[in-house]
Amino acid sequence: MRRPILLITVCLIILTACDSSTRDKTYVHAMDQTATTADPAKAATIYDSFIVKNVYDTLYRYKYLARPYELVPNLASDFPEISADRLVYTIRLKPDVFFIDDPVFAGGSGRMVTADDVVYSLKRHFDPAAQSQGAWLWRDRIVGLDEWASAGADYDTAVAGLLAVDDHVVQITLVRPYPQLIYTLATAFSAVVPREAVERHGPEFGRKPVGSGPFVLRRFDSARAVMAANPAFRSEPVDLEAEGFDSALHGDLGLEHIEGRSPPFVDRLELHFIQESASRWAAMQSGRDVHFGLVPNEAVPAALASAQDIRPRPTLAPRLADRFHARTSVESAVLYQAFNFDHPDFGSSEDPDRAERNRALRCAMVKAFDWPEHNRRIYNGLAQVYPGVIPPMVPEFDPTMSSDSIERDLEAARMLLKTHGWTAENLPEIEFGVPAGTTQRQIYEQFRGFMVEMGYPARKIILRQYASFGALNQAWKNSELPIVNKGWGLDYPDAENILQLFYGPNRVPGSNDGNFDNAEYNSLFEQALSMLPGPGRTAIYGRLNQIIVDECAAITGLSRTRLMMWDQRAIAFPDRMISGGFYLRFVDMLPPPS
Amino acid sequence: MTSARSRTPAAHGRRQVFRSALVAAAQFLLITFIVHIALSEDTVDPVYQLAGKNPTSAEIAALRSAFSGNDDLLQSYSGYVRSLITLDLGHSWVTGQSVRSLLGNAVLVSATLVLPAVFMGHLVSLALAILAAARRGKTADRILRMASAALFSTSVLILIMVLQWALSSPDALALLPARGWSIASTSEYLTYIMLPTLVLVALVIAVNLRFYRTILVEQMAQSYAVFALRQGVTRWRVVLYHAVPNILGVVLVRAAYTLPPAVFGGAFVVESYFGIPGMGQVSYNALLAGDRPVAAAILGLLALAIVVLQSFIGWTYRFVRPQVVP
Repeated sequence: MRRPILLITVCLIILTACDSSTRDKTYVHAMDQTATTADPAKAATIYDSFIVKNVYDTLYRYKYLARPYELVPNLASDFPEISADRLVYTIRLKPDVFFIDDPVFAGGSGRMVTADDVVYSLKRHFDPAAQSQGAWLWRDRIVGLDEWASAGADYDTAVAGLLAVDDHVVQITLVRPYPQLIYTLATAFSAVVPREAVERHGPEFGRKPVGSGPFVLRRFDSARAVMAANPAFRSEPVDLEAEGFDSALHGDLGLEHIEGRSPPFVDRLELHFIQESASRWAAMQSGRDVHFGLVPNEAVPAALASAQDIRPRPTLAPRLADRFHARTSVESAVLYQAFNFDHPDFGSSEDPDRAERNRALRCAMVKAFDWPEHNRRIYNGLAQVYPGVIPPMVPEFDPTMSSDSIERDLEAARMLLKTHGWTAENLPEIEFGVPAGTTQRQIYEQFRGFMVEMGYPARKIILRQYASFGALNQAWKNSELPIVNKGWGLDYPDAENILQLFYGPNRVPGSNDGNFDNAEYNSLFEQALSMLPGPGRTAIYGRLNQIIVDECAAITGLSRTRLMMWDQRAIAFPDRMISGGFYLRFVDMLPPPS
Repeated sequence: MTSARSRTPAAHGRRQVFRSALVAAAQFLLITFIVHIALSEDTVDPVYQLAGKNPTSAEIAALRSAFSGNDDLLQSYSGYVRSLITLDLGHSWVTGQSVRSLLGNAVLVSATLVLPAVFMGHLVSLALAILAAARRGKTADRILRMASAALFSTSVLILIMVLQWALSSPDALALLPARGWSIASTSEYLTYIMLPTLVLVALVIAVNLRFYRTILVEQMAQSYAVFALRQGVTRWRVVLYHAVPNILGVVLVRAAYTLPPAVFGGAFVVESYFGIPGMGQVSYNALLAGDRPVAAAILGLLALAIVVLQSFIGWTYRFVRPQVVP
């Protein structure tokens, strides 16, 4: 009875071993979470964004190689013409850009992408039916757009501040200057969709994208997204110099191979969603299942020749070095623990004594937090810790800022508690809310350990684990937790995107989950909003950052260093930030060794 | 009882069928009602999953009203049952996909993953159990006992990692892909299915081998078996020709009942480690994201499958063991 089974098994193994791959050029990119939608209006995660940016076009994109990120025109033919008062943006589109062939179009062949499509796509964020997650980028910014929404969101009604001047010119009129506008036009949210597809597919539009990007979505399920090259993608030969090529950083990657050729270069692009880090790591090392992945935290020491090597070009362990390329990059995100200012014992108070006392408690906790130890235990010592919330990845980062707020001082912490009348008896209970998971639990245990060393009673620091991000988010938005343990991925490389997290009017359910509300902060933030990048604005950003530190608004901040590893057959300079995702069109694959 | 006896056997059969259909329908309604109550706005809520990074109160309220159900319990429940029967299951709140096509794809994947493994697993378990029962107390039996205890106490994660390493790591055999899935062609399907099937077969064996051996050994203590042995019939022959037919009903029921949860619930751990887009992944994502239409459809269809299977087993039992119709 068992003999046939044995026979079949042997046959299968032989068959597998001889699997001659005569397939097209395929690049497989492993991601650590699952994408859920390809609808630009809902593409709020890196994972969704990686699909959207490759099947659709945005007006602008980031340069392939330049870091910090720099914009270049994508669907737009040039940078916008901006009026002297910086309120009117005129954007010209490339002519002869077409949507892919699809039955949603009359005759089935893709029609030209026009200014009307750009206008439609932005309006859509304000249509309640679209359930947009990105409307906040343009809320109260564009003349008439919010009013258009409250008047019933009729697409045939024109919006004064969002006009198609002719087929290829879009004009955006702002309520007040908004220098970040151009960055928002490089987000996945801003991708240009054809109205026919949205109306035809209804709720299924998120699975059936019809775009003009370099790839066409073929399959999309809970395990992966499979894209094929868009054969009709416009010709845009690569100019490595213009993309930010630096031979010191990119010289060994074989990028010269794509110089002068027009993307996309692979026939098939697959994003594999692999949440289990052990499985991802196994697939990455196998060299046949995926071509790129982030090395999981726990595997980093084994992957590197020397465990603490966080240079941009680290040396891989010998068994990997001849098959893979590696780069480290500091993520464009900030991890911090914000205090909830609505909370009676941590937050602000009408009573100045009480307010001062609460501030002392916050500051004591900031001083009790051991950043180097946190970095070592949770992130293998590879993360970057810095004072305040402005991360190294943005140009406004100030390396000279005083590091007092990230240096542990238990004596000072105890002193603060003592002089302000905090004792083991009257210290408030802290519910520490985290998503379910081992690492998250370790973060809690460690946090409690730090606080106990300061004299906080261990029983008063209580773990609250939430089954999903949605459940945790609900607790934040309803202001239920005294500390918000949060990570924010930057939507664009401007510190404003981080500083708005402490702007009073953004309180819950907005992005300011800690409900920080400081008059000086709010007015300076508003002042900076309309300023152009430059030393003046950077100085204000610096002051804002200092207020967060002085008020002990958060225990902050940290950005992880990610170790990226990819197969040497893949000619690529990968990127996995929310602002990224554009790089996939530039990836090429060398043929497998015979 | 007397009235039943006075009818013809055919009429009696019809009445039995009618009665079991009635019981099945009642079971189905009861399970789906519990599911319907359990999946409320309080337990499975997508609003804060879908709210975006910087929502306003108005946006939250709009989402809330888009996702709140019908307040009238009877109406919403009958709508739910109707959707299950007509398979008009609506759209996922998270991905927007039609639930019918989403589940259709995932059920196909889970079935192609699980059916061969369950079939082979039970077959191998039974074969090994026969060997163990026939050679009871001998070396083969003892080795199998130790092996099955070892398998049973090994975590599925460890089993996966060891097999993944051994069969796909370039440092080891490097025969199979570490993960992935395709049913595009038979050869691709066979390539990708091997590793997860090995894991699943091992799991099925771990759970069933000892059980099958135990009931076989128990059969061997029955008077008919003892008598046959005393008459000089070989132990092998008694096991194969008498004990095995007597336990086939149990094997059938046991194997059949593992199917609906496996096909509709999926094998989550195996799916997520091997990147297989089956029902395990789909259910997990739906529950986590508060995707009520998907979760409700999965649980409802699972109830339907179990009820249908129960009736089906009742019918097949008539043929396997006509003397014990349940």
